[in-house]
Amino acid sequence: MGVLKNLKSRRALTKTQATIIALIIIIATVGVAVYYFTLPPKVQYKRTLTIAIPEEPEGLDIQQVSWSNEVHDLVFQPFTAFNENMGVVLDLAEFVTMDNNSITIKVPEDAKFSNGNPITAQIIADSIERYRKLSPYGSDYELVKDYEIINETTIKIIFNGPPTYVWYNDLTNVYGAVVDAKTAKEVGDDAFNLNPIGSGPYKVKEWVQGSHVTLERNEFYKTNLPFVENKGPNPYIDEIIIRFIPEDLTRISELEAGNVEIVRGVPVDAISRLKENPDVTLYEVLTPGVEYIMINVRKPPLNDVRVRQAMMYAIDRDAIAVTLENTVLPCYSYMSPSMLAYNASLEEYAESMYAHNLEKAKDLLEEAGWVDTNDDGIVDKNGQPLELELLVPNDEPKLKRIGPLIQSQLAQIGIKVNIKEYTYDYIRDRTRNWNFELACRFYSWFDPAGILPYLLHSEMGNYTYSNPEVDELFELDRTTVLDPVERTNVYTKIQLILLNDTPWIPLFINKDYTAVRKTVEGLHVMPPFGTLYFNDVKVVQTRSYFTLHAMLSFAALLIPESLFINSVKTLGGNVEKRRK
Amino acid sequence: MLTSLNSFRKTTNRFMSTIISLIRYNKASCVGVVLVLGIIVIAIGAPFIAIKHYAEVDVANRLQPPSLSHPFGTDVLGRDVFSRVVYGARIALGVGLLAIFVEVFVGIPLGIVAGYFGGKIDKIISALGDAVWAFPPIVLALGVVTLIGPGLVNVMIAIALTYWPVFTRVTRAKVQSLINREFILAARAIGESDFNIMLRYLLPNVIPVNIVLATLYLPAAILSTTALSFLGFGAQPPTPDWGLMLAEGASQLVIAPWIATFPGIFIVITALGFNLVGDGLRDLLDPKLKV
Amino acid sequence: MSAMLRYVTKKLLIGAVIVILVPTFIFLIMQLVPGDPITLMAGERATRERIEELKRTWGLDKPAYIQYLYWLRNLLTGNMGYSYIHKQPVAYLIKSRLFYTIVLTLPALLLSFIIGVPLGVIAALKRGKFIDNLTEGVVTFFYSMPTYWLGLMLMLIFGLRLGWFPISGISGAKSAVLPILTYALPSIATSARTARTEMLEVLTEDYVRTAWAKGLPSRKVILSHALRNALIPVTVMFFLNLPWIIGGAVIIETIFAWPGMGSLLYKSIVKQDYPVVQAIVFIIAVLTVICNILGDIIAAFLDPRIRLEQEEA
Repeated sequence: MGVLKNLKSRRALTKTQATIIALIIIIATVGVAVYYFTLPPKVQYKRTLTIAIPEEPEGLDIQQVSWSNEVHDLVFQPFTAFNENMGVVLDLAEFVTMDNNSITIKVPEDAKFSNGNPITAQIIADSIERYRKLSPYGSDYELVKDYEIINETTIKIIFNGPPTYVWYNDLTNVYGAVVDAKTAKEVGDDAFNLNPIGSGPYKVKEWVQGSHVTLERNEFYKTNLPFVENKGPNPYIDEIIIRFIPEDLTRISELEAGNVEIVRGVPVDAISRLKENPDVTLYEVLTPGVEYIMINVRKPPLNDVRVRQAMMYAIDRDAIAVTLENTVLPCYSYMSPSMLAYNASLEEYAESMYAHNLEKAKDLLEEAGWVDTNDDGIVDKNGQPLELELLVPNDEPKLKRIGPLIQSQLAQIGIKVNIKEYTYDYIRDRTRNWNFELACRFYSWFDPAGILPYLLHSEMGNYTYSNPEVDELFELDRTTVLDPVERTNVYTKIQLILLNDTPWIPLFINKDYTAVRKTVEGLHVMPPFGTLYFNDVKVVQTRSYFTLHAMLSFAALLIPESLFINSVKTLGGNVEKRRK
Repeated sequence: MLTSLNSFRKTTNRFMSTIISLIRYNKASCVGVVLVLGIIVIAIGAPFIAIKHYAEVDVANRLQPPSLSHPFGTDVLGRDVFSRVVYGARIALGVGLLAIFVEVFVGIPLGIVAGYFGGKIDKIISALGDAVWAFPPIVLALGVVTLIGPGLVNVMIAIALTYWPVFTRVTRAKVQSLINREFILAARAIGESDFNIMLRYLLPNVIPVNIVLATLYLPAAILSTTALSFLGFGAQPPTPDWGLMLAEGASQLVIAPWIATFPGIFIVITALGFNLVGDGLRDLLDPKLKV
Repeated sequence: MSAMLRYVTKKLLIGAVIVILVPTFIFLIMQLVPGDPITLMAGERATRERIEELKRTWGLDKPAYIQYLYWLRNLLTGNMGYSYIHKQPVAYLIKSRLFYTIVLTLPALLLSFIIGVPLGVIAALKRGKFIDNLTEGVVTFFYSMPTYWLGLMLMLIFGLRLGWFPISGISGAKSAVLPILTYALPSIATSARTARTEMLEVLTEDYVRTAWAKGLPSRKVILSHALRNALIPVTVMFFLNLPWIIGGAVIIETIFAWPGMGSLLYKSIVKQDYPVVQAIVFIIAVLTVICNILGDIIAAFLDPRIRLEQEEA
């Protein structure tokens, strides 16, 4: 046709030529689209699953790190675990029992590590001794006196006192999991930290520093968990890749783009968006912990309990929750519902006692001698204004966000707050050295005995707060075997004292969100930490041209096409004018 | 009295004529002058231009898109972004000025001393300057801030300490080209003390060069400060520093882009303005200036 | 040549001093910062005695000067120390991350010169015309933009919305495009500016005008004389920027989850992992000294005037 000739000589196309070209393009596009969209879906399973977490672990050996994450949860296997109701159930162990001064553990006859080495009673003992030597939390086992090897697969650990601490705080989670101590000795601790051997469902294949860890299936894995169907290795998932993506925006973008199946540590701003995303399920777990402001009770003017209580009344926790898009639960007491020995009526009492009340706060300050004499909005006493420094962690997004909010809330009762942002580790260090006034802190552990004494006991915690009554109660829980009801009573008593002494200003309980693409089926998300169990997981993979990606690329193609058609039309129009 | 008034007038005249020649020079520097003046006006007039106080929290109205009552929308705590951006101009300019101030008091004297005395002193100062200049500014500033703590002032000092080698090097080169001129030789012949020579004769002559340098590096200083605020080491809340606002708004970029976009635009505008003015100044005053 | 040798030796000596001084300085800074990595790391449930025990194991309870001497001795025997946080030899950490940083910064640096310099030269040649103004405008624009903003914008537009490139992480050549672009664009801008300035300066020099007046064909004049002279500072700048490729990409690596030295350096500074910080700083210092000397040698090679200057010194 003359089209080519016209194009070559750069003359405008005739109107008919233009229309024909446009028609051809349109028909081609529609045809291709119809073909793609009417192809039947073919269900396959993806054999690799990718998880994105915010921070890279210090090391992969659970006995050498100070915080654990998904890698450890997959490589190591605790003896017991928690079910949905925080009841203790079996995981690796076939049988566990405890009495006044001992714990007995029996593992299955064919229990093996991921390298094929058998899990024996002796190795369990060696593993515990290694933990005591290497781990920052080695003092967990300080009451251990001796080990009695009853047979090849049964061990009795003998304590100098009640073993309840270890029962709850070590056996049920990855810190108390048995590691292949024999191999650790052979290869050395450094090498073991790069490539540890445990009995978890997956083992380490590769660790690319700063980027990701690749895990592959452990063929020797076996479990006694009641809430999973598959008690052996998962045949559908060959590899799990755990990527470290510190930047929130990047992490969520990867999930939305489908490059990552699971995201831990979903940031506040992404929650509402993800809730509305049809491809994503959002799991919510109430953290077994509390986020609060620690007060230096020895430093004036904070040594006056009325000042501290005034602040309790001045903080509007509901406003905080709203600012954080309700991804937190306001908290007035010192424990979380996900923790053992929790008492809901105590929290109710605390809330009624300290409900938001600016008038009461101002009255308390006045009682303590703080009045605004010079009308500058800040209360003062003896010529000194009430100015306090608040340490806010810049690596904890929620606390960082509400820092200015707390600042303005305390300003309403005349307290001037200056914010200083530091990393959380640094803030913790300063509070340990009593070098602070107000500091944002949080804790996260399911057994109050495993955390609160370290923060509130005079010696074990050695922070600024000290009360012998509270100390006694902590020690009672530590040195006597109490049943759950008695334990709850003890911690209720402790909290009643704390509510009066106000060493902290409890703010809220954090909700942890895990975002999972709907292509992932059979995932278990368990309390108290929202631990993921992959035993029954399958990842569905439909053919790629049905994804959003394909549609977007398609749209991107259509745009220049329509432009072309437009310009062709205009050219055709020019021809018209010329003819006339 | 009269002489100081006269010299004041002279300086102002010189100043005004420089600005006018800049405007006339080419389109780019004219745009630069407009932008810079604009930012200065905004900074000075912030309390009148802003709608609300920059720290005023209003949780119920948070994350509002731009509207009549909030031209730039509101941020995550309900603060008015427009007001924060406007007040932020003060911070940005203050940062720039303070940083340059430090350079002037550190860089120029060191440069004059190094150029004048030469020899070992020169070698030490130059080596020191090279050592400092070896580091990416962010890294150095991070180190300093880790030491003296976070805070806008500390960051300003840290950044200023990062860039001084440039001022020293340029001043030194200028001084070296001047010390063999007649008027210096004459001053020495009269018996002027070294200090006097440096203060009265050399200093006034190195100032133009440094002005140009200052305008060229001001944007770099502002950008570095915002980078540090972005990393969490700079301005502390509720300071309306543009870098801090960018950091705060980055996580909401998809659902509320206005929180980060407007400060970002203003950072670019400010840096751009100073860059254009600096280029123009350099072309006018001293085209041979090697940056 | 012997004058050159003397010059280089002198510079090397000064360089050696700098190389030792700089990490020492860092060591001092880190000592002055309160706290140490063990205390910082240990979580809530660690008892004070346990922390003290661990400090002893790591030798952190010894006085500062003894720790420093240990470090110095280790350095001289090639041992770069041990990271407290990662519990790995520092050399291992650096080795595993160095590649990723270089993959990011070297192409960017090369791009900045391959694209930036010609751009600047052309702008200088066509001074005042449309091309010059356009280049200046675009270049100044990128020069004035905060890196992280550029990075975030690129990631959102090309990574998320259009899906043309991976958003983050290392997954093949494609994933490096956005980070390299974020690093390269401002660098191209800087190079273009410098090249243009240098070129402009040379073009107004007397000898160029003389050549023009003499009537030599202008192209020859420009290319052989002006360009050669203008390129000297540009080349020197290339070498001066080379050491920065190690730690310079801190923000970009953070945004794009790129496991390079920049993010390692940032993390180590924040968590007070001094062996890592000192080792990286040491490497940067060494590179700087070497690159400085190289830059000087090349400058002398290209420009006889500088050679004379150096011999006098």
